[in-house]
Amino acid sequence: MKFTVNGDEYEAIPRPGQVLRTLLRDLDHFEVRMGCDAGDCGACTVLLDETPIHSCIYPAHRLEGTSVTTVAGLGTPEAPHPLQQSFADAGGFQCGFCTAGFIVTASTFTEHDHSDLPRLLKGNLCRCTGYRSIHDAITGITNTEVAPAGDAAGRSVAPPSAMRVVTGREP
Amino acid sequence: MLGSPHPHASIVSIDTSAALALPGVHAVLDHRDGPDILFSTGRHENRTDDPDDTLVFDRVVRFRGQRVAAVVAESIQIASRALELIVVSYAPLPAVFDPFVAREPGAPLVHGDKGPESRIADPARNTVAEFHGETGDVAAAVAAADAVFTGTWTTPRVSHVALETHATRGWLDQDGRLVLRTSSQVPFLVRDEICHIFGLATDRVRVFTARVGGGFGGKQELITEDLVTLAVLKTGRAVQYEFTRSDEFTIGPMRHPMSVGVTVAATGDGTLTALAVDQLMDTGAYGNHGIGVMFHSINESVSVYRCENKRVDAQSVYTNNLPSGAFRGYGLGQVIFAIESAIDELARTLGIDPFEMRRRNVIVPGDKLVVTDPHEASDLGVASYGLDQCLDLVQHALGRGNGRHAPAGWETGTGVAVAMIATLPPRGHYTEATVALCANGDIDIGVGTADFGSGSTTVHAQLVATALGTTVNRIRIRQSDTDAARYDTGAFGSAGVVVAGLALHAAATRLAAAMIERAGGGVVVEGGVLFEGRVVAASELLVDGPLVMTGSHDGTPRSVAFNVHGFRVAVERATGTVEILQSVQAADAGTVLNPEQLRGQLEGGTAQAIGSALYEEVRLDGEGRVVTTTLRNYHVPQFADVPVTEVFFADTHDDLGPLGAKSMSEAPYNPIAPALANAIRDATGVRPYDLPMSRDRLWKLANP
Repeated sequence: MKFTVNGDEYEAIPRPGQVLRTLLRDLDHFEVRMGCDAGDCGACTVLLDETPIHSCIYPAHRLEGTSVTTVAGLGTPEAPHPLQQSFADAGGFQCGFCTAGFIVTASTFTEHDHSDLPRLLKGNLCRCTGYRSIHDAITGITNTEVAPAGDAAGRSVAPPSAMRVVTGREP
Repeated sequence: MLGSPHPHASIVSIDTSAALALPGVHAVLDHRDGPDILFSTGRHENRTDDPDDTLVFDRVVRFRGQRVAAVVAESIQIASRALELIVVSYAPLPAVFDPFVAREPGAPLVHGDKGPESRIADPARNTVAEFHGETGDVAAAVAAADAVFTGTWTTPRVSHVALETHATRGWLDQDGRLVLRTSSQVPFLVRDEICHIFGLATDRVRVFTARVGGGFGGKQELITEDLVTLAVLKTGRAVQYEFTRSDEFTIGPMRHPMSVGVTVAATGDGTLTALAVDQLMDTGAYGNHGIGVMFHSINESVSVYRCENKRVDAQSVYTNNLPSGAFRGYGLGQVIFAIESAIDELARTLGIDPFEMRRRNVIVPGDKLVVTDPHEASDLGVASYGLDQCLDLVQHALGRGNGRHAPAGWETGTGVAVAMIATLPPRGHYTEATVALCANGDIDIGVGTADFGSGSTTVHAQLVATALGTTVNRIRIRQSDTDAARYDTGAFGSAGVVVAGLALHAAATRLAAAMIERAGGGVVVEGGVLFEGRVVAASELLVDGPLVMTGSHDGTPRSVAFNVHGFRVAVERATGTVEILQSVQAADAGTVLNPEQLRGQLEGGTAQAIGSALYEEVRLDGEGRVVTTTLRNYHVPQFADVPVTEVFFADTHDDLGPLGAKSMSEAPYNPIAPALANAIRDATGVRPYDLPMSRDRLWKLANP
């Protein structure tokens, strides 16, 4: 079975009944997270040929000839996808576990979709933020600042790990 | 893992031979392999804070799903098949599921075999802890009052639903040391207890976390690490054990369900003359956090009010249900739900505005914090006070409104609640952190605190960067690793910003002084010291040797933080649907070290609490079986469910915290349920007493 992940070509034989999420993690794509196993939380969201899916309930044997994109394939810490940058700028995460899924789902949104977020984000859960900062991230609002030397306390500094979290490079 | 099918049974025999023979199986572990050392899965700085009632594998199982055996195999699939080959013979024992029944004489005993060394208060009454105290004379005050209100409020089991489940991976490194990577809030406490259980020297065990995907108290436990340790020690191999989401719902720790009776009485002018609380909590089959949650639940919830006559009765009881554990607020939220609802109703009876009712009765600066002993020695004090500002901010915002209108025909109302919380847990919370200058001018910090989303790591970097005149991106952080940092009790009790923050700030300040001394004078700047017009670079400063400073803090004395939350709601009586039109929270967190992060804590705490208040209930069937086993059946708030909360910060400075800051991570959760209940009461005329205030329940209440 041949498929690509983030542009890299793979050939693999899935185990009987294997889902896409565990196959991706077998291929060391640890940025694809497990939050449930039933398509209820969206932590495992990846793009399958441009469509966001819950990889935990997608049969791996259907991958033939498809291209998968994880959050790590959207950008790098040095060259982030604009949405990844805006998640960092907005302070759009706290623990960061749901972040990959949200960024993948939202990477398919148009500006028109910004008025329909409650419906379009039904497939992604966050337990930490209350979603306001995620809304800001998707709509491009900046809430963080860069602090001058010696003057960080009291400022809305972004988490030091922000670029790693939003690009799926945080172990 | 093979879990018990019975809620209470002794294991008569286990035959693992067929399972062991399956190709790919490396070990099958059961009570014959486990150490005999009793412990608690609950973790605290003092291990004696929790009862010693748990074994890695017990011969007696006390809740459905408790560990009976574990298969260690090449894959989950092989391990699952091997489970089916294990033959177990059980002798079922009488079981009890209702804490009201469990505490009565004659009830089946969950830990009848435990003696006083277990620190269970009374095993013969299934009581892991209890408290009875009174100051003044509540009965007399009630008899003499102009208004009295009595009620009983209940809260269900709630699951934390941290998006990352409990999981541990363990292995032996090349020196034969045990290494555990685990999703935990308390790596140092896990290390210490693993050493206690397995008789290992602490320098032969390393425990670390990488980024932790949420905790909310559920990971202030030793839940998967003991089994992984046993498996690694038995097989010598690398072993991983990961909870599924269904495991989280069926064998993971739960918020303690409580029944809280409250009686409040006042004179006609609204002065509170009596406050009585009678709390019963179900700690489940094991007593992890069953003692601490009980004592904490009745502390700040009661001491926030000045009242000469107070009585508190509290009891934490074993049942054969799955164990409860630490959950954001650590018991306060459940009792605050009851007290704030009762005070609200009392104010209604007297025709007094709910904000005014609080102003007349909450403590003010200079007051001692009293539960039921005015002479109790305590390290807890009001080192800064912003409750008055919080009340004003919320009252003003609710009064101003936000322009949102209710749908036609819906009833509207407003509600408010206050909450106070100690900024740190009692009896000590320790950190020893290091700050070191690197040759290229970066600053290396070693701190034990795990950041599971509280933002403590960001604040730590900010405090150090501020003290050393540098930028946050020059701070190299080594954290939550028993090898990389000296010590930290852990990320619970909202301690991360205050305890480790103070330690790091002290160490950084010392480092700055040492750098300046080596330079001969000047001020610290990015990369070194600015002295006599030039920057003396770090590499130059280090010529005479390393510059490493240590800072520590022991978590005492402690201050208190305050939150006030207000809601305006619309309720559709015909369906029981609640729509939140306006949500406002004011927090007194002292100096705000990171406004965006603090706002995030308030919004996130509010969202999680809306879930607990309106939707979430882990339901059992009355015989210890969990019915809500998947997220599909357990409604965690989605994007569509959470309104935007207006957030306000009081302007205060706390004498005890770093740069005047106070902790503020559990606290935002606590006032939500009562504020919502009070708003629903205001809108409909009926008061909900039981959480969650789901649509079907509200419909029944509003349409009797």
